Amino acid sequence: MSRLSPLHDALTLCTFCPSLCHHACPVAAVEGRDTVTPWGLVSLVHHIETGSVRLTDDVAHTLYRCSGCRACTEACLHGQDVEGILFTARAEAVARGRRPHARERFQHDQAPRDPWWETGPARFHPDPTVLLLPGHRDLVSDATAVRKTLRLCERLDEAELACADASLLDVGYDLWAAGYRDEFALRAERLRQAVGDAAVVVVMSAEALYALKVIYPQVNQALAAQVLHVSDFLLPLLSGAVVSRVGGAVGYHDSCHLARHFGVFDVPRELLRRVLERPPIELRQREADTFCCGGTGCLGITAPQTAAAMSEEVVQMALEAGCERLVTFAPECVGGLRAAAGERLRVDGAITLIDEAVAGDEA
Amino acid sequence: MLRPAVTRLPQAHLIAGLAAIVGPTRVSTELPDLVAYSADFWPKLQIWKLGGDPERYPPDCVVWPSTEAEVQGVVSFCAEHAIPLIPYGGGSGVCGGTVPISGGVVVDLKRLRSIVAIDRDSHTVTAEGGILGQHLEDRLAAAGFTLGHFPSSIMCSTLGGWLATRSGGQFSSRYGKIEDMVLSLRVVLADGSVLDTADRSTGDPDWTQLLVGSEGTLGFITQATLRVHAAPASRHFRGFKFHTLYDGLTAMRLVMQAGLEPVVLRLYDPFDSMVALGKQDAPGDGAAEAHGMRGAIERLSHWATTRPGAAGGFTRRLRRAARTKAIAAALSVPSVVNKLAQAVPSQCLLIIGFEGPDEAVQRSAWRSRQILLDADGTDAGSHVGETWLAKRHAVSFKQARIYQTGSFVDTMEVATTWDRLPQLYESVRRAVSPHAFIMAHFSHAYREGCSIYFTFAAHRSNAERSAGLYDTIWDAALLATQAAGGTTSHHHGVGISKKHAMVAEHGEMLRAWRALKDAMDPQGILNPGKLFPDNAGGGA
Ligand SMILES: Cc1cc2nc3c(=O)[nH]c(=O)nc-3n(C[C@H](O)[C@H](O)[C@H](O)COP(=O)(O)OP(=O)(O)OC[C@H]3O[C@@H](n4cnc5c(N)ncnc54)[C@H](O)[C@@H]3O)c2cc1C
Ligand code: SF4
Ligand code: SF4
Repeated sequence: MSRLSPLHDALTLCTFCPSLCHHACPVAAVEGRDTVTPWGLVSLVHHIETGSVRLTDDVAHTLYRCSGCRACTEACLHGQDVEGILFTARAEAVARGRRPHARERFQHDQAPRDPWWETGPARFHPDPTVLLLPGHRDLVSDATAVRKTLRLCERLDEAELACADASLLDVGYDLWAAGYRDEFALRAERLRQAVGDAAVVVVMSAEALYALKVIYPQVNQALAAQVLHVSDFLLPLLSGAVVSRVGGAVGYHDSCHLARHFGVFDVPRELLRRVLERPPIELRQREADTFCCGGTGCLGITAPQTAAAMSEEVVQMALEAGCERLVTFAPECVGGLRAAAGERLRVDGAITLIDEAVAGDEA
Repeated sequence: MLRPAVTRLPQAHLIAGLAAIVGPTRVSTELPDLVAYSADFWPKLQIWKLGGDPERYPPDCVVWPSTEAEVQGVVSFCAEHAIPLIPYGGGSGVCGGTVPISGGVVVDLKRLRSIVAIDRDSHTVTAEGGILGQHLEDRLAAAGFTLGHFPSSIMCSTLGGWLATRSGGQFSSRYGKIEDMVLSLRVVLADGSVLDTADRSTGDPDWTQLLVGSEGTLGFITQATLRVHAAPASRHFRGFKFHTLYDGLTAMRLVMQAGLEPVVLRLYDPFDSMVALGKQDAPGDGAAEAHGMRGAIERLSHWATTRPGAAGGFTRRLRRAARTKAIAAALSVPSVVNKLAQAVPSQCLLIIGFEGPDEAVQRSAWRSRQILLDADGTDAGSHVGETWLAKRHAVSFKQARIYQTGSFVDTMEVATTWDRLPQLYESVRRAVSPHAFIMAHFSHAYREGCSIYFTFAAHRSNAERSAGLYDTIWDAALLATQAAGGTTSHHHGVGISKKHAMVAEHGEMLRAWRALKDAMDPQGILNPGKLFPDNAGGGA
């Protein structure tokens, strides 16, 4: 039986729905293409499941035009899990040998660009109680964020957070999103073993948070440790801290995973309020209605032009709102937004901003 | 796959020519695109889809121009090679208007999605034709305005599509239909030139209105300027109940003729009232429940089988259908369900709503309440009106649940003057009742008349039989409408499904239409086979 058979009812529901979540889908918005609306994509899966359409490489390619942002689920009165359906369909395509994107593109085991343990404070412990898992985005795309996070802990008198060998591992979210389920399961097992006896795991990436908390248990690799996003970890540390508030017109971009998958809006804003002179500027689309910047769901790998156009859309919203600087708590959002913004807008991970505000002598 | 091959160019040349205009990534002949663009939401296509045929009329290719200049380029290129062109907005049409029955190039306009200007002094908005309705309204709301156009398909339809089909929104009684809102248009004509109606004399003839409702057969609407309204400061929605449908209709007429301007004034017939009131009962997500119609059928069955003296084959069959929660079974015996619906002592629900400055809203709400009570209505309270407002889109989500049972559902929006309304309602019901379960509500009210929105659902064991039944229902309903002096198209447009009815409805004026079409589109390449019967394409 194919992975799609159990989804039959859900597939039928979208296929015969008049695309009532069309307006919510960021991919459809920037492409202007009905094929990539939630309706179009799920209908395609339905036609594959019923045998009306043959699963060729071209057809499989289309299944990758979704960032898994869940805006459609939010808009759908049935609460359809379109992300789940499409990621399962990709897994089915991979299982049937239809692999428009090679596995290697989703495996992120490159060496970090910033060897923070060589230059930064000595927070490397073979078996830490509180383990920092930066995720590949921060290791590769914005490596200084790791160093800044560790430095922040120093300044805020936090003694336990440390890196370990496990910190160099990617959680494997992109493998999952791309449908490489076997490889993902292996990665999950390796990471769970590497985490060892840590009581708390602090992750910097919102998609990694989702992977560890929601997907790992699905492949029987649930971590015994408590998993925290770095914003939750930092908020209590900041109370009572001496901060020199950062000025300027700073906007906040909600990442899909924090805002929609976990419903987290307040903690990041509260953190920003504590370090900014003025409250963060709100974008036209925010919180549960946030516009996906294309940074997740492996869209940047499978449809880079579409992802770039989605980032551009968010940048436009920030400029429209009068932002000079845009911050986000998800490293997966930073790269695309920064590339789209160019000189028009400064884009940072929120850690950078907090680091500026809690600057010690070294700042 | 039926596919009249009228493309005169080899496909490689067609693709190369179009790619030179819009770029190679904006032209597609890939299967997923051909499937997605071979249908709109015309239920007959859904029936074929149910039968495993999702691409009966695929286009030769799909293009996504990003600018008006690119639309001009595409149209000029296709005109040069006499290739059919199908303007495509959201594809939410329910009459087959975007179906490429002659093949050709589907031109999706959704990349033309900018707001060009919001004029705060003149209270107008200028936007590109491909913008999705919800996006337009969201941007207007952020600027403190509303267009006042809220079709149930606002999430999946475009400004250009609205204008091309003379769309009507849920708040039309106050704000009018889209043709009442539009001030001017930019349209790419069949030779690739652009007509900007704002550049023409504001005196007669009105070129804007000539093009509104042309369903892509006269040109591509690339931009429109429309009047907008300040976002309302206050809203008041209320429900009333009437013992009979005709009491309710009289009350509606009196409200409209008293010069009041409700944003919403709609009356549900007894069965639709059951569905609407069922929605009111359902806390939270109505669509997650079984289809409202199914719930109402269950209630109907319960009433029928528990009332004194209840017996008889039809109630037993219906009870069995409801008990097994088999909507398909109930829809296989439509005359049974229809008979019961007629006998049910359900009251008719009327929803009335006002919006605008606080004082004016209060005044209108008070005045309308007096009229409705004087007309034998019972005040059901503001919560009924507010629940309706909050859940007004839920019903659209429920359509798919009907298809999940292998059944089909469709709607038909007819209209006439108040004096003929009861007759129109009765004759359409009578004509459709033997074939499908049917219910209705009255909405889009005017001083002189009103629209009736029929919903019908039916079931057959396979797609071929369902498609046959579907045609039978429509033939019967269209004939009954015309016999009762109604128009068969109030706001959904004509497309393929009603084009033959247009012959009787427009009579002699068909000659004028043909002359206009010949002048503006001499090769007949713009959306062939739609709106009026022509020689291209044939039926579907
Ligand atoms: C669930 C549901 C609810 C609905 N509720 C309503 C409602 O409340 N009120 C209502 O009026 N309608 C309603 N409709 C019908 C439909 O949404 C309308 O007909 C709408 O106006 C179609 O817009 P579209 O952008 O989807 O157009 P399409 O379906 O893409 O096209 C419709 C027709 O217009 C032409 N066209 C589209 N764009 C252009 C353009 N830019 N220039 C020239 N021609 C163009 C097409 O060729 C076609 O003939 C509903 C439909 C559904 C599925
Ligand atoms: S996700 Fe919901 S709203 Fe979107 S197409 Fe599917 S059923 Fe319709
Ligand atoms: S999850 Fe996001 S990108 Fe994917 S179909 Fe839904 S709205 Fe579109």
